[in-house]
Amino acid sequence: MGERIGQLWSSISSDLKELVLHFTLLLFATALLSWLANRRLKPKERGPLVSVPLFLSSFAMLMLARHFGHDRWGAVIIAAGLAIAGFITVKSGTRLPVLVALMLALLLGFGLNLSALVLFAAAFITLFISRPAAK
Amino acid sequence: MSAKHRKGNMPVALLAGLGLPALGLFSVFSLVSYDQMTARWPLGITGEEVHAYQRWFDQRPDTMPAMEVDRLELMADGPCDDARNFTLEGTTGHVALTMAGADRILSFAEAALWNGQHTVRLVPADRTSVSRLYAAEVARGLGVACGKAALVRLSLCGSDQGLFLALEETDQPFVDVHGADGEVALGGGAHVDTLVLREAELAMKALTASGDISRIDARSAAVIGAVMAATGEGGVPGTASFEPRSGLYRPLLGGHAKDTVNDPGAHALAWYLGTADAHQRMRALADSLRIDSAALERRLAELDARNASAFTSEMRIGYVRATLGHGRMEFLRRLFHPEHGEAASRLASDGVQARAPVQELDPLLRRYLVGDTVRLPRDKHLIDHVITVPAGYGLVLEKGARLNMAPGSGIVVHGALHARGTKLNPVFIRPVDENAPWAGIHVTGTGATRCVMAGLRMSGGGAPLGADGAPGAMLVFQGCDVTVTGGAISGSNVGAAIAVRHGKLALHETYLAGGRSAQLDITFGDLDATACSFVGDGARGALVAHGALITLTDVSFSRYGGAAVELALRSQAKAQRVSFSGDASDKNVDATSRWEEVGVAVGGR
Repeated sequence: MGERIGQLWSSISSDLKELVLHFTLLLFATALLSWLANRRLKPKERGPLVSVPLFLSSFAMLMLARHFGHDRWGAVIIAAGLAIAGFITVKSGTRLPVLVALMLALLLGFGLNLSALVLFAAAFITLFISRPAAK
Repeated sequence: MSAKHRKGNMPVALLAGLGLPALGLFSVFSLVSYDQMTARWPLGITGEEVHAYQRWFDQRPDTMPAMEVDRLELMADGPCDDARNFTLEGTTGHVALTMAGADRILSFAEAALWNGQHTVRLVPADRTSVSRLYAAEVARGLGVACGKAALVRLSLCGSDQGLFLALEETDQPFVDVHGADGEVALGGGAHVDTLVLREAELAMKALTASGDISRIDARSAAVIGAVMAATGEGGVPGTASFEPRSGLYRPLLGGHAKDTVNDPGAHALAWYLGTADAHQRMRALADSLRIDSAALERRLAELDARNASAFTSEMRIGYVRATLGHGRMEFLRRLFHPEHGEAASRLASDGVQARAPVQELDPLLRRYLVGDTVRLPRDKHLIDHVITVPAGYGLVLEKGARLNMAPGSGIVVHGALHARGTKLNPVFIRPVDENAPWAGIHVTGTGATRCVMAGLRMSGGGAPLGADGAPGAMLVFQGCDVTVTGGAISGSNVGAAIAVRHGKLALHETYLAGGRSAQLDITFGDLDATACSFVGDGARGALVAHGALITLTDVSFSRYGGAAVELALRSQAKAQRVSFSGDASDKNVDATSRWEEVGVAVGGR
C-alpha cells in the first residue's frame, strides 16, 4: 500500500507543471459548461458557477487516471462510479456538466487531449444550443 | 410564450453537438496533408491519438501504389498445433521453428535455404521496426558484416501470424560465409572448442580489464554502435564473432539473442561502445556520413517505399509513408548527431585510458640496464627466482651469456627478447640441477614485437610459471614475431620446448631433441621451419598445431613415440621435402585441418 502511495506521489510530483495546466483547463471547462447550463435557468434554479465538490472529484479523477496509465479500465470504473454519485446528488443546475467534467478529467488524465478537445466542443455546442423546457 | 418556445430542443442540440465536431474532424483528417498530419501536433496531442482518428475520419482516396512484402508460408506435415517442423511452400526442405520469447527462430535445411539464409529470427514488427532496416542498410553500405533484414508476413498452415522483422542470425553458418577462416560465433549455445573459448576469455580480459582495444574491430563496432543508437532501441546492440588466431572480436549486426552473459561477443561489443574511443569514432563516422546525407536519405526513402504497404491494414498508404518519413528523419538526426553520455568518459578513464602501474626493475636487471635495454653480457648469471622485465624494456642475451636457472625460476618479458649467440659463442640456458626443472622464459608482445634468438643452447625447463593460462614450456612467445636460428634445444621433461600463441615463429637450422611432450606447440600462430631436425628419443611428438598455419621445408622428423606432427582445429600445413623416419606415425590430421605435401618421404617405423 505504502509503495502504491509512493508511486502515486512520484507521478504527481514529477510533472507538476503539467498538473497545474490540467487543473486550469479543467477549472475553465467546468466553469464554462456550468455557465452555459445555468444560462437559461431562472436565478433561483441556478447552481454555483463551479461546484467545489464536483470540481475536486473531477481533478482527483484526473490524477488517478494519470496514475492508471496501464490499467485504464480501473480508472473508467472509478469514473463511472463518481459520475453516478454526482448524478444522484446534484440538485441544482443540470446534470450534463457533471458527466462532461468527469469525462474530460478522465480523458485529460489518460493523455487523450484530442478526444478531450472534441468532447468539450461537443458539450459546448450542445449546451450552447439547448435550452430547458419551460415550466 | 409560444408553443415552440415551451418545448425543449435537446435532441436538436445533441445532434448539432455531435454532428459539428464530427464534421470538423472529417474536414481536418481528410484535407490536411499527411506531412502535416504526421508532424508534431499542438496542445500535447499524441501521434497515437492522431493515428486512431485518422483511421476513422480520413476519407480521401488512396493514390499511391501498394507493394506487397515477402510472405513466408510454412506448412506442417501433420496437425499444425504445437508443430515444430514445417516445410516452406514451394520447396522440399524442412524448416524448424523454435520460440524465443516473442521471437520465432526459423532454421532452414541446407538444401532449402530461404534467400540464402540458414537461420532467421522473426521479431514481431510495427512501424518503428523499420529503423532496424535502416540500420542494416547503413551498416552494409559501410562494409560491416551484417545479416539480411527484411519485413515478412508469416503464415503457418494458411493462418496469418502477422508482420515480422526477419533478421538473419549471426550464428556459425553466417560467420562461415561472411567471416575469416577459423572465425567462430560464440553465442547461441553452439559447441565451441575449449581452446578457442580460453582464447576468447583471454582476449576479453585483455579488452575489458587492460583496456586493450586492439582486441576488437573498433571501426565495425563504432558503425554498429552508431546505427543501433540511431534506431533508438536500447539493450544489446549486436554481437561479435571471435578470430582465435588474431585474438580479435569482430562485431556483427543481425539477429541474435539479447544475452551478454552467455555471449562474450555481445559483451565485448557492449563494453567497447561504452568507451571514449568508441564515441570518438562514432562522432567521426557521423561527420563523414553527413557529407553525403542526401544520397543516404534517398536510399532509406526507397526502403520506405518498398515497405510502407506492410503497415497499411486500415490506413491510407500516404499516411503510412508520411509517418515512416518522420521516423526516417529522426533516425538520420540521431545518426548524424550522436549524443555522448558521461558514462562513456567514466568507463574510458577506468578502462581504455588506464595505464599499467609503473613496475620496478629487478636489481639483477638494473645492473645491466643500458637505456631501455637490459643487456646480459658474456658471463655466468644465476637466476634463482622469477624475474620480470616490464613493458617498455627489452632484454638482450649477449653472445657467450650463460644463464643458470634454479628450479622454478624463470623470466617474464613484456617486450622484445633477443639472443645474440654465435656458433663459437652460443647463449646457454641450462638448469642448475638437471633433475629439477626451471620454469621458462615467457615473452608477451603486442603482436608485432620482434624477437630474434640466434645461437641458443637450451635445456631442462618447462615447469609452470604460475601465470594465468600460460602454457608450460621452456620458451613461450605470445603475440611475437620470432626468429630462431642455429639453435639446439633439448626438449623439456615437463612441457613443450617452444610454445607460440598468436604470432609467428621462423625456425632456421635448428635442432630439437628429446623431452616427453611435443617439442613445438603452435596455437593460433604461424610456423615456418626451414632446414631443421626434430629428433624424438622418447618424445611423444615434434609438433602440435591448433588453428595454425605451418610451412615445413627441408625438415626431418625421426624416432617419435607418437605422431610426429599433429594438426587440429583448422590448422593448415604445407610440407616440402620433409622426411619421417622411425616414428610411430608420421602425422595425425583432424577433420578440420589440411595437410599438403610435396616430396615427402616416410622411412621405416
